[in-house]
Formats: sequence, C-alpha cells, structure tokens
Amino acid sequence: MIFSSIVFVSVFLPVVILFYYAIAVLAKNHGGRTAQNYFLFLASLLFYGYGEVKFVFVMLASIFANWLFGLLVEKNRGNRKKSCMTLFIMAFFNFSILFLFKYLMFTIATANRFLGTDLAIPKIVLPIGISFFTFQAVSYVVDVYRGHGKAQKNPVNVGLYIAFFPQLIAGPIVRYETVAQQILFRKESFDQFSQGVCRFITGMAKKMILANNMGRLEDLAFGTELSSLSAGMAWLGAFAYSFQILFDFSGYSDMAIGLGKVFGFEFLENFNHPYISVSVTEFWRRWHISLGTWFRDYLYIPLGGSRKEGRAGLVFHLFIVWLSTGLWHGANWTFIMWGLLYFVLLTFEKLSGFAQKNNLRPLRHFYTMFFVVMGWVLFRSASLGAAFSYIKIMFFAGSAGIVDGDARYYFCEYAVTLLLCFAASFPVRKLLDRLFARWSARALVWEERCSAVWYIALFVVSLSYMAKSSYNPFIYFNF
Amino acid sequence: MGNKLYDSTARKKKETKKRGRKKRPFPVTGKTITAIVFLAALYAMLFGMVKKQNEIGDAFRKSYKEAEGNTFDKTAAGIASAETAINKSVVGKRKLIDIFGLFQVVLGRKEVEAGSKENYVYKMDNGQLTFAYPAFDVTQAVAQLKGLKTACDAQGTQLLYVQWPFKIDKYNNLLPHGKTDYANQNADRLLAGLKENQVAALDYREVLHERYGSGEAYSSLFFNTDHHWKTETAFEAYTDLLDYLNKNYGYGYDPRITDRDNFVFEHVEQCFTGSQANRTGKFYGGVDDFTYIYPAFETDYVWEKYGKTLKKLLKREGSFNETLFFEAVKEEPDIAKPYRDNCYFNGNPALVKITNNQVEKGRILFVCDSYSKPVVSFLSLAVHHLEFMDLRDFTKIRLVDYIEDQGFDMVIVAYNVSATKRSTKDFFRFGADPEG
Repeated sequence: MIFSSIVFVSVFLPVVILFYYAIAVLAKNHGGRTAQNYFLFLASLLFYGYGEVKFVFVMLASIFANWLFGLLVEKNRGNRKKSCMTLFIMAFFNFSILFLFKYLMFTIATANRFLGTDLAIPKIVLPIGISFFTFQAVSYVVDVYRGHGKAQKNPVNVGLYIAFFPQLIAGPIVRYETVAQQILFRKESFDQFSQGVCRFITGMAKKMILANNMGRLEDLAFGTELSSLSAGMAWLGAFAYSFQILFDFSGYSDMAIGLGKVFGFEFLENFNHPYISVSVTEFWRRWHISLGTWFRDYLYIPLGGSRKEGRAGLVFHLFIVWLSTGLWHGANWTFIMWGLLYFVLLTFEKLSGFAQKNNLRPLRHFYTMFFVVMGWVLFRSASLGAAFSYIKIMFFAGSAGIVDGDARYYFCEYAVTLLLCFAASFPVRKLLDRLFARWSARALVWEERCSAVWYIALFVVSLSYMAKSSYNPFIYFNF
Repeated sequence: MGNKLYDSTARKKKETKKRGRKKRPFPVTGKTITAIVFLAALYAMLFGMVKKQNEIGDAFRKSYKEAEGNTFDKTAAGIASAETAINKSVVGKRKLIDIFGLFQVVLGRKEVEAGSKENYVYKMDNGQLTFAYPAFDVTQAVAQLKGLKTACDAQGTQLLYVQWPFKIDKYNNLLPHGKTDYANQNADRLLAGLKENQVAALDYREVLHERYGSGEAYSSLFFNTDHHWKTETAFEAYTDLLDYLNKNYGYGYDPRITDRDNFVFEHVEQCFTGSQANRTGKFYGGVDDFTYIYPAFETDYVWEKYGKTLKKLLKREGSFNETLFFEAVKEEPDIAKPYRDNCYFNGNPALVKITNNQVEKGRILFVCDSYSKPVVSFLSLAVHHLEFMDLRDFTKIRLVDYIEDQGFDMVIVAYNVSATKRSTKDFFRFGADPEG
C-alpha cells in the first residue's frame, strides 16, 4: 500500500487513527500504550502485507531475530567478546537476507559476464522496503550495544520500531536511539497531531502534484529512442527527473514524518531543500539525511572516519561509504557508478577544502547542481551504456537536433509545473514566515491561520489526482 | 459549617479549573483547522466506503475465486480488485475530477491524462477536447477488408467502407503547441489501399469539408466535450448516406424519412458532459448542449440487444421511442450528465438487431463503433432488418461466417481507423486471417 492512494487515505488511515485513539481512551489505565503499540504493529503488518502477503514473513523473521540479538547484546554488555560476536552474527544475518533478495541475481549476472561462468540466475522478487527495514534493524542492535537505547523485552516493540508503517517502505531510516524512548513514553497532543496532518498534506501534494507530473515528463524523455532524442528533450528529461526524485522522495518523507506525529512519534528530518546547496558536501547534508547519518554513524566513523590513517585512510573510508551508498540504492552498475561519482566529488571537496570556502556562491551552486543532475541521469538510466549515450545527447553528440518539436511541445506543456517545482525547491515557507514576522507579530498569526486554506486546497487537489487515478508511480522498488 | 467549607473549597477548585481552562483555550491555528477538516474528509470517505462495502467485498471474493495459483496469489488478485472497487467508490469522485480539471487549467495544461498513462485528452486551440492518434501501418487492415470483399462477393453481398470525419480537421490542425495527429493520415492510407483493391468506400470527411470548410463551421459539427459528432451532424450524415446508397446502389427510400420537418429536434442546453469532459472534469472541458432527435411519425419496431456471446439480453417492441430510443436518458435535463448520447441503444452493445415492420426491403449489417449509433438508429427507418455490430467485442466469431449464416444485402464498415490497428488474428477477422 502506498500513502498516495485512495485505499490508504479513505480506508486504512481513518480506521487506524480511529482505533489508535479509541484504545487510548478505553484502555487508559490498563496498559493503553502497550495495546496501542500492539495495534500499530498489526496495522503495519497489514499495510506491508497488502502489497505482497508472503514478504510479511521475511519481515517477521527479521524482527524476531533482531529482537533476540538485542537481548543478547544487552545480556552480554559486560562481555565485549560475546557482544562483538553477537553483533557480527547480527550483521551477517541481516546483510545475508539483504544480499539474498537484492544482490544475488546481480552478483551471479556479473560473475557470468566477467568470469565467463554460466550460472543460472534465480528469479527473486525484492520485498519492498527491505533496505529500509534492514538498516533500521541493524541500527536497533548497534544502538543497544552502544547503550544509546535499551533492548526491548517485548518483541512487538521491536516490531513496531522496524515495521512502523509510516517509515516502512520509503524511509526515513529512523535510528533506534532517536525513538527508543518514544516507543513506550511518547505523548500525543492535538497540536502535534495537527502539525502531522499538515506535514502529511505537504508531502502528499509534493508527490501527487509535482513529482508525478515530472515523472510523466521524464518518462517521455528517458523512454524516447536515443536516435530520435533531441538535446533539448534530453535536458528537459534530466531536469524533470531531478525534480521528480526530489519531490517524490521528500514527499514520502514528509508524509512519514507527518504520520509519525499523528501517532505521537517525532522522526528526524530527512530532506532540507538540497537543491539550494553550494557544494556536494552540503547537498549530502540536505539530501536523504537519515541515510547519510546512518552510513556516517554505522560505517564511516566505525571505519575510522577522517581521523585515522591520514589522507589515504580518509579516501579509502569515503570509497567504502559511497560504494555502499550506491549499492544501497539498487543492484545495478548505474547505482554503483552514481555512488562512485559522489566519492570522487566529495573526496575532491574534502581534500581541497572546497566545502569550507564561501566565495563564488552562484558558480559553486552551478557546479553542485551540474553534477547532481548528471548523477540523476546515471541513476535513472537502465544501464551505464544508456546513461552515457543520454549524457552525450545532452551535449549535442548524436542528438536528433538541438530543440525538436517534442521538446518545444513538452516545455510549453509543463512550463508552469516546472516553475512550481523550481519555486518549491527553495524554503518558501520559511521566507514567508520571516517576511510576515518582520512586518508584525499579528500578521504572522494571521498568516498561520490562513495557511489552513492553503493546506486544505493542497489536500483537495492531491485527492483529486488520486480520484482521477492519474499516473502515480512508486519509484522505490529498487531500494 | 463543614458543608459550607466543603462548598467553598469545591467552588474555588471549580473556579480555578475554569480559570485554568480559560487560560488554555482551544488553539485556533491554521494547523488545527486543517486537521479538523482533514479528519472530517477522511471519515466522510470512510463512511462512503462502508456504504459500498458489499460491492467492494464482492469484487474481492469474485477475483479471489477466479484467480489461479496459491492462496497468496488469490489474495493478491482479490486485493487488486477490491482496490479498483474502492477507487470507484470515492465519495464525491465526480466533483474531485472537476477540481482536477480546474487545476489543469491553472497549470496551463493542454493535455490531460484520460484514464491511463498512454491515453490523453487534448484541448484544441478552439477549446474543444479531442483524442490524438499515432501513425500506424494499415496494410493488415487493408488486407482484412480485401478478404471481406472477396467473401461478400461470393455471397452476393455489397460491401461499403465509410470513413466518418474526425474531430481534428484534416485541413486545419488545431492541436496545441503544434502537436501532430495521425488519424487522418492513417485514414488516407487505408482509403488509398481500399481503392487499389477495388473495395468501395465513401470518404465522408470530404463531403463535410466541401460543405463546411475548415473553420468554426466544421468544429460546430462536433461536441466540445466528446469525441463523437453531434446528433444533428449524425442526422445529416444519415440523409447523405441514404442518398449515396440510392445513387450508387439503387437503394430507394421514402423521402419523407429524411425530411427534417418529420422529426422532433429536442434541444437541451448545457446538459451533456461528453466522455472527454468526463475524464477531465467540467471546469476543464465545459458542458455541451444535446439534441435528441427522433421521428415524429408512427413507427413499428422490434429491437433486440445481444451480448458478446450472442446471447439475447433484451427485446423491445413498439415505436422508435419505445425500442431503440431510451427516454430515461433525458431525465433531469437541468443537470449536466455524461452518456446523454446513450439515448440511442442505451450504451454500447456488442450486437443489436433492428426490425422495422413498416419497411419491407433491406438486410444491412453495419460493422462499426459507438460513433455510428445515431446514424444506424436513423438508418433503421429505411431498412427492414438492420444490425449494428461492434466487432471489437467479438474475438471468437469470424465475421465472414456470420455474414454467411445470416445473409445480408449489404455490409457497411465504419470504424475509427485507430480501431483497425487491432486488425490481427483477434480483430477484423474478415477472412484474410491466415489462421482463419
């Protein structure tokens, strides 16, 4: 099930909210929180099983095993050897499952290609969100090991942490230490609920109005035969995909954070207007923050980060992290190359001190966005060959003209939407708040009140897109 | 005393509580207002779904039962069907689609998704909505029609292909931003192929072009919100067709049945949202007027409707208005509704057999799509036995076998050329099918 669907908005969500708060009222003095957690866990399983029932068992196995690992790590807290051994087994278990479902086919295909083997490639369907819930599971056990949170005695609480439906299929990757307390001791309020609703609506609008429209445009460009693709259309497709992935992904994160608030959870931010960055380093501080911090805390720093083994060590650690980041996004050479592109750029920035410099901002912004857009072309393409051919066409090599009829047609057709996407890439709301605050405090209050009209309008328009059953892709199947 | 003390303490507590409450009024913020409206909308939609639970449940059970595979596969099939039923059951769906259309106007969109990723509705420069078609090879369609001619010749049956006009004028492309439509080009190639193979054809596009030119007069022949022509245009086409049949095939008829004065033209303003506006909402596409046309003179019919398996579904006997014309479609004339054009045949049937007891001659088979429904309805006034068949609904029967079984004086084929794209082993099985 996806958030941007009629079945979620008109059946699943109202039922879950109704029962969740009914339990809070009815079982207030009789373990209401535990009952609520049980209910949310069951609802999450239903949410996950709605798309593919059999993968619920994969997730349940992951939950049960990591619950045990958590208990074992806590039990052996004084015994470093045993704790480390448990951690090792935990990592082996989790990453084996991930490897089996996500990377086995790719590994065999690569071996067949480069080693000349003729191994049969099994057909394995990737469980949705496996990368997200595996990383959360690892976070749980490692945070318990580090003492950043206590092991849950009740497996349902671990299940709720790993499988909680708002962040289950498209993130953010919630680290255990950030919600450990909230699982049992969160406090809901209508104010928080309202904030959550507004955040959810914002995310839904980003997804339905901006991302899906851009999705249709980029599909047209990337779906065109390369021999008949003009440079103009190729650039249009590249920009469209850059906007689609931003608003799709950040939209899902907004919806997840909003839904978390609806049920009393506070998740950390996942996107912070990444396209205003003036360096690639800054871009990655603003883009998919939960993944970046996961790799920083559970891979980069444990490897030694920038402190050990000098420059060579730094470069090696960056290489490992960005290779892993690329692979995390999908089992394909395009994702690996995409990760390695960022390895090169970030290594350059770290070694040259580029990120710390504060001059020539427009030029630095241009440099950042140029590589980000090129990166998305790599990310979006079906193969490395297709990506390089597409990029060549963008620079007029082998293109079917500079601007053809299609490019003109689709530019005219999507001009307003592109403009909206461009505007929404900036922190417009913050700028408005600042403007009203400067005017008068009263104006700020009225601006906030009038925002209801804005949110309701966004909700109704998003809903209209759902009712229309318009193009609504789910782009995280590879994750 | 004790009681007084208790009362005073209780009062104080109550007042403090009240003061406390006063200090913390319900926060009327933009976010809380949004949350209340959001919850109201959510539960209104849920209530709507509860009301439709039987349909949703039936959809699940039906697909679960019919699906093949293990329990997981069956459940997945059931869920998919239930979700489709849920999507159809959204409260206020029509209004939401109108809002969707309005937002497309805001976005300045000239093409709007029409149900699937591949189908789009385009807003032409004159404000009318239309579909556009890609170019495709018509060789197979020509071969199929040639095969049909051979089979008809063997039966002594006349064959005529009629090319009805498209909303996009062949001589004046009004598609937005210079977009190209290939329907007319496809039709031109098909007609050229038919000419080469001596299959008789009437290009009605040219008749209308000669009469109306390429401007506003041409556009006014079609609904703004539907891909069909207006009923008045269909009536005109009916009179022209009869005239053509008379001149070319000696098919005589009583001239009174083409005289406009003998018909009722019931014009209702702003009552029709055609199938294209139905997809884009009325704020995007607008609303059309609709004219119901039916004979003012006495008629005597038997009208039978058949399903895809040639099973008889409905039989009506009586006048034109009691048989092939469905009065119920005219209800609530003040409300803009889709499917007003279903006044003829009440939908898009697979096969309709019309017997006009007041006419003694003529057995004609009209192989066509919904575009021809009003023409076929009017044409029935001149033919004793007329059949309307949409071949797209039949994958199991061969047309040539049907013609041989039923025996017709004439077969008229009139499709949107895009339909002939399907002229494979499953469609247009006219006789040239190598597997046939």
